[in-house]
Amino acid sequence: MFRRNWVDLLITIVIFGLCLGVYNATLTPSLSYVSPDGNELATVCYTLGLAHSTGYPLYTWLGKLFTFLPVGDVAHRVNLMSATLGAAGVAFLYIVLRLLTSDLRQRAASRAASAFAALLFGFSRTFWSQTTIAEVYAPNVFMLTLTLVLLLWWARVEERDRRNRPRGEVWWRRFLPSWRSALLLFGFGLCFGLSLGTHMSNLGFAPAFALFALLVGPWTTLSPLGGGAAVTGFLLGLLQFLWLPLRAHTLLDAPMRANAPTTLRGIYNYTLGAFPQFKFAFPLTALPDRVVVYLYFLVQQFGFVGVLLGIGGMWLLLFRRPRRFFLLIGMYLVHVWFFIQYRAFDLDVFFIPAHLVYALFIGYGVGWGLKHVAKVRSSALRWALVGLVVLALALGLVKEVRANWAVNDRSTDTAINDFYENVFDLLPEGAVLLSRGGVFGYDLFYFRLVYDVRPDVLIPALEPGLSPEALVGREVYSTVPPAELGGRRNPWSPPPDWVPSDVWAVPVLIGNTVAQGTNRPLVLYRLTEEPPPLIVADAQPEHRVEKRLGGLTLVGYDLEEDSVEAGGTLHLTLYWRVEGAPGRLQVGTALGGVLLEVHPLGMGNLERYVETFHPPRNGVLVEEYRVVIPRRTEPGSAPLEVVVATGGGLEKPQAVERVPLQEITVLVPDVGR
Amino acid sequence: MSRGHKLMVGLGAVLIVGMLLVAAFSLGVYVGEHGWTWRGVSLAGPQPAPRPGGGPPPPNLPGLGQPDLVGRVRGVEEGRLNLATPEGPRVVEVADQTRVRTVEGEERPLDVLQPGDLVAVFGHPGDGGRTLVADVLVLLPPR
Repeated sequence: MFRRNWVDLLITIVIFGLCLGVYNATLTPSLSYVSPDGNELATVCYTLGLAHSTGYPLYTWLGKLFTFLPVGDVAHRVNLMSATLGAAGVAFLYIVLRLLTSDLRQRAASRAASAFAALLFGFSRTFWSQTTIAEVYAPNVFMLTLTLVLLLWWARVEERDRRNRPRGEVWWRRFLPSWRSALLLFGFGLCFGLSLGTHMSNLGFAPAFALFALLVGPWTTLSPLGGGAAVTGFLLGLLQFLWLPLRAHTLLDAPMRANAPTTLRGIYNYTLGAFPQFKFAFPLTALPDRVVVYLYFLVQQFGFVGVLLGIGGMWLLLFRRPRRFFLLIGMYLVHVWFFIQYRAFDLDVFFIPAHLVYALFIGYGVGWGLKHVAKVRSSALRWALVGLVVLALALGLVKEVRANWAVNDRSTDTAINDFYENVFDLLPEGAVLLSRGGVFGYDLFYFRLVYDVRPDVLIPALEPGLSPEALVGREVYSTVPPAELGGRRNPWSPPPDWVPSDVWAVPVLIGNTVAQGTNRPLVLYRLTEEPPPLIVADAQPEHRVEKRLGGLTLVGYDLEEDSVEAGGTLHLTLYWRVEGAPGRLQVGTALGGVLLEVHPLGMGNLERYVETFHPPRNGVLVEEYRVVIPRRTEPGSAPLEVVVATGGGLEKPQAVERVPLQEITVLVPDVGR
Repeated sequence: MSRGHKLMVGLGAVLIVGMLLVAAFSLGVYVGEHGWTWRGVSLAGPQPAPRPGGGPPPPNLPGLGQPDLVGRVRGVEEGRLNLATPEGPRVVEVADQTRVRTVEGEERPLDVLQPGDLVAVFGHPGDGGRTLVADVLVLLPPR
């Protein structure tokens, strides 16, 4: 296709390079909580295990290739796959747009519009967010755009072949496609089948693909050499799912193991039948609300102007290229219809393919507009108009990048790695570490399964079938909140019989997730039958403060060190006097104005402690713990502060008052750390 | 324009107009309920209705009787409380005289309400019967 189009090849390479540069600059350095499954996917790529439903074989294999790259750690390399394939997907989107706008017969307009729409999608908020972490959505866009390139390329070849057919041709010769047409159909079918290994929802595009093929080349589509080649390619692509029964024994997640894909029914339940509780989960009366949720996401990606341009592009495509319109609208409607009724808390990412299709509508609309601007007869006016439109498009892109950079920049997100490196430093020899199981446990499992860190520490969630007796005589720690060890359990909580119901969970280490905007607290608890000395009659802190903060008084604090390596910990003891009911006030620490952590006063033990021991009303509440200093903290001197926060929990605390404790010297992190 | 082309354009036009109508209708319903703001958008959607016999009925609180509304707080903004209820998203007006209390009857300040809290609303109609103005908000224990 690019034999005579070196300009297009150059633009494609520039788009790829630009996107890869931006994605790489905002890439998550290692593990992350942005996606619930990302840490599992990064680990499974390395171990060649079986990911959660629907298995993602192609993703796993591609990820394995990336784990051989000699940069960063394994998670970083899998993150890099998202950046690379995401950028390649945007570059392929440019080619799709060029194929779509080829009827405009105005190459410059087609190129400008295609580049604009591809970059508009590439730097849209949700898609960009998925190119910086280990997730399936960016590789899926790569597979989808590659599939579309092959399908539209086939359509072009097929339409040309049809025009060149001699009149009075024998009827049965219509069933004989050219070798190029057959090869492209085979390639399309293979890519489409393989794309189910990056996201099963692509299967919903099958009716639109079939309809398009029938509209473009009915005889070829129905012929064994045409349609048959596509189906053969598709089935070959599906063979990847043999990976499921082969690797089913690597599953760690109890609910997934219960539906292990070792039988045909198991494979169905693991793939097409997965997540039945999420699908079509809303009554008809809720649909207006769901449509608005989708519109909200659409506006978030492209702005109101982009949405209007897309509607214009739809109409234009319908009148000018109705077959291609039906291909795109079929893909779009099926996808949107399915996912507006999908009950998932990370719903935004599921609409990425629909956004991709919408970007095609936008591109077509912009291309048509540019073509007509370029047709203005007066040369001066034409150039002025073209300059204005191109400037507006470029400014729109710059504005989009600026707005989304801050949201999607994960380059300083080292919270999980910082936390667990300190956890493994702190745990005594032979300790037990309780954690969540399944996909939610891979923030911990990663270190054991990929790097075999601290093999002496027993991680029961990695040992299905382990009996509670294995914990006897060992010190037990947990990263699971106390409530989840007791009454508020979920399928991924540790089994109830592993720890006594009256055990105390005493926080010893708090990680940093506040600045990263995630809602999974990183806390290491020591489980003990002895209650912590939470409230004492009197206390003699090393440094007295006596400062009122909200409904509390910070009596004073102890601090073991006044210098710390970035990535290390500060050992802090806070002494509080509570005036009246503490309510929902949360307390925390900040360094250099950046919140390190916030936690409920008493760290979840206060209510039970008061009910059990009835301490004196004027007693002093003691909180002793280590707080992790993020590895990317600037070396130098910075004030350590205590804050009292209100707000919706750990996600968006709003400090109402803060008091400086002392200056802390942050040192360059140890190379071995 | 061939006949096939006309047919495709006609069908496509019906599709686009249908899509736009569904979007306009949905936006109309939404704006009527939440006004011109995105704040009513909830990813999780309304909480599923309790199964028959599967959950406890709304509490009949001492001195208050049956609540007008029970739901989970989605957002708190000045003078308004966005709730997710089994019947869909609802907005409750909060006035100066609105009181917040626990099931045990302890008074709490209004700013104690957080997204995710389960509350029972006892109130009276306001704005010509189009809104519910909360008199008492009772913080229910998490389910």
